[in-house]
Amino acid sequence: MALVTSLIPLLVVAVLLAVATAFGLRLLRALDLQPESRLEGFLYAAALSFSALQVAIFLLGMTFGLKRLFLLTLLAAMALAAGKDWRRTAQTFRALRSFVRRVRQTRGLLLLAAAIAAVLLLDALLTLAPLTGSDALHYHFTAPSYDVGRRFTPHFDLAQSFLTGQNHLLLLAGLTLGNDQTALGLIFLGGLLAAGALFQLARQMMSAGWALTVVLVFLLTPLVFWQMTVAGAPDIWMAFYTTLAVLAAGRGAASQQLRWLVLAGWLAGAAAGAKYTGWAIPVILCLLILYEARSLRAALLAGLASLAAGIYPLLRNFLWTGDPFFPFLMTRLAPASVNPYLLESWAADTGAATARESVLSMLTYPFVVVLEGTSHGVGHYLGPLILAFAPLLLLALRNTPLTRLAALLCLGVFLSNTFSSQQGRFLLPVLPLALALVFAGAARLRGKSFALARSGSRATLGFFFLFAAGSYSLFAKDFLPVVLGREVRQDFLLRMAPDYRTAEFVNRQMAGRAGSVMVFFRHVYYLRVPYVPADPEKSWRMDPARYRTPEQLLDLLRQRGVGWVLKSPAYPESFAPLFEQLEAQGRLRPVASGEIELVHGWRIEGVRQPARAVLLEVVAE
Amino acid sequence: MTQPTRLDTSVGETSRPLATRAERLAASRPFQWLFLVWLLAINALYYAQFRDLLLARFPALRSLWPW
Repeated sequence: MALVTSLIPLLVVAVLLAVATAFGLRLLRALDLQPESRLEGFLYAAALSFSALQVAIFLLGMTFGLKRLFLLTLLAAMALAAGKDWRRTAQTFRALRSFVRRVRQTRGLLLLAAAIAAVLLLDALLTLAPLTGSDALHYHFTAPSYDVGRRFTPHFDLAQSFLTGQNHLLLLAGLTLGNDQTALGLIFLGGLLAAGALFQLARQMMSAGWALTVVLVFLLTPLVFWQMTVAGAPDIWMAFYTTLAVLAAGRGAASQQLRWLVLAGWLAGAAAGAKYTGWAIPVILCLLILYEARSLRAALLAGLASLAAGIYPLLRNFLWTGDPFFPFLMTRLAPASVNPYLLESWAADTGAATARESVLSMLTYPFVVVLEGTSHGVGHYLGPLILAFAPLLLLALRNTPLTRLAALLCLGVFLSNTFSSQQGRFLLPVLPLALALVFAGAARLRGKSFALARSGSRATLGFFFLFAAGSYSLFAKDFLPVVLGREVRQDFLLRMAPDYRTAEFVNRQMAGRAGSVMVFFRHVYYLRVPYVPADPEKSWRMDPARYRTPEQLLDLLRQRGVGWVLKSPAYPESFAPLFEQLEAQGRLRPVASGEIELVHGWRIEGVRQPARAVLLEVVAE
Repeated sequence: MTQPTRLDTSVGETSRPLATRAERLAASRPFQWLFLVWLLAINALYYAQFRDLLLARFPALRSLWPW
């Protein structure tokens, strides 16, 4: 029964998908965009609806605040506006069923489809586990949780909140309508739709069997199953929008229909709205549209559509700080209010500071991103197959608009990644494109003349499936007990959620105490008391250069209404001397202490260390 | 413009004579042997980086590990 109840978030996501599909089909009809198949119509409908919903949530949030009633009204209006397209929605889902029936007639396809269904089922189940992803507990979920039911305001104490994009608004919708699991379910939905878009793209280049194979590879790629399930980051939606943008551009280029090119621009903008690095996608795509359509007007209109779909986080940041790419342009736009300490830390975190700029490092990047992934933003989570099958591009690359668009967009995004961050995880938006291209090559290894290469590629593929299935099983093993009700939520969180013990200590100790507590640990999502995040590497306000005496620091504590400070187990290095002086002066007095646990590096490596946290009271003079 | 129906289960293109120069090159013996060596190298280098993670997860394997 508990498992059945816990499935409710997935049910909410399914209802959202149905409403989005119906409304999206209505939009497609209004825009005279006629899909060529049910699957294509379904994907474009979902993409249009969800991207439009993100824009609507942004406008609501910036003006009135996103209250549950507003969101429900908006969804009801979408459902009503769909009108007779509800019937087409039902036909679409029926067509999917008939596809499954036809797949059952061929043994190979049935096996592939069954494997895909099994992976998707496991993905869906894992989204029901309590939130434990590190970045999610830091800001992906924390920032939207601040905005539930309220008008959007800047959160300078959580500077990463400025990096949240339009896909985070789907998380906000999930949190507003339900809970963490609803939001995680919406991330899973992004992955499911990305897999559908990949199938749609792959079918233009290869047989149904190979298209299903590439979808299975995509779903079993460590970066994908991690991001689709428990990571709590919504970037997988970028892969969906980007793949569909290429399909729409290919259709527009082949048919010379402007509306498909504008749709491609809109979808590329929706992908870009997710994060700053995403803006490479519409910029490159619009250049490609200019080349393919030989029309400046088409490229400009596609560019305008991109801006209309995805510019909102940049506008928000500009309104609040004067820097649309806050804080990366602050040194030029507002040098007086820069926090150089935080900027330096972020440059290292995003790879901007560590990206090697020598010609040799750029030439080796295509190899080391996958083969030395730990040093390149978990690039090894992209799997080995793109690099391994890269020579087969010789067979895959055809001089068709779709292949050109997919290949050149991939190349452009890869180059922008090489010249900026050199972080493999930022390549997720073009992963489906890259997989489709290399597998188009693998699929062409037919006949006796390719026997040797075919054996090698199949062995490589088989080995990857073994590795991926093993990795995913090990990965899922940590989460399934709580999903299946065999582990208590609290025990699971203590075992899996970084800093959960610290958050619990603060929640317990602060119960009944007035004032906010200043904390320096990273994973603040489970704090249930008023708090001020103050890690100088993550808070724009905590610039060490601005606080040079204990009195200045004490003034800050008073201004922020901080009555308590948590030392867990030490103060941040740049502020430690000031806090220690306050302690020595008796202006910070320990009132409680307890055991906590620190996780070093990635939690998958399992390096944990016990430590002691101390809660100190700020003593009024 | 003709495109395959995405919900069908047809097998797409059928086998046809090697047409382009790229296909002839890819079908040559030297290219295929080089491709096999390439696959071997990429697979070896890729999976080797999971060694530490695997041994951390299964310490019992440490005694069996060849290097």
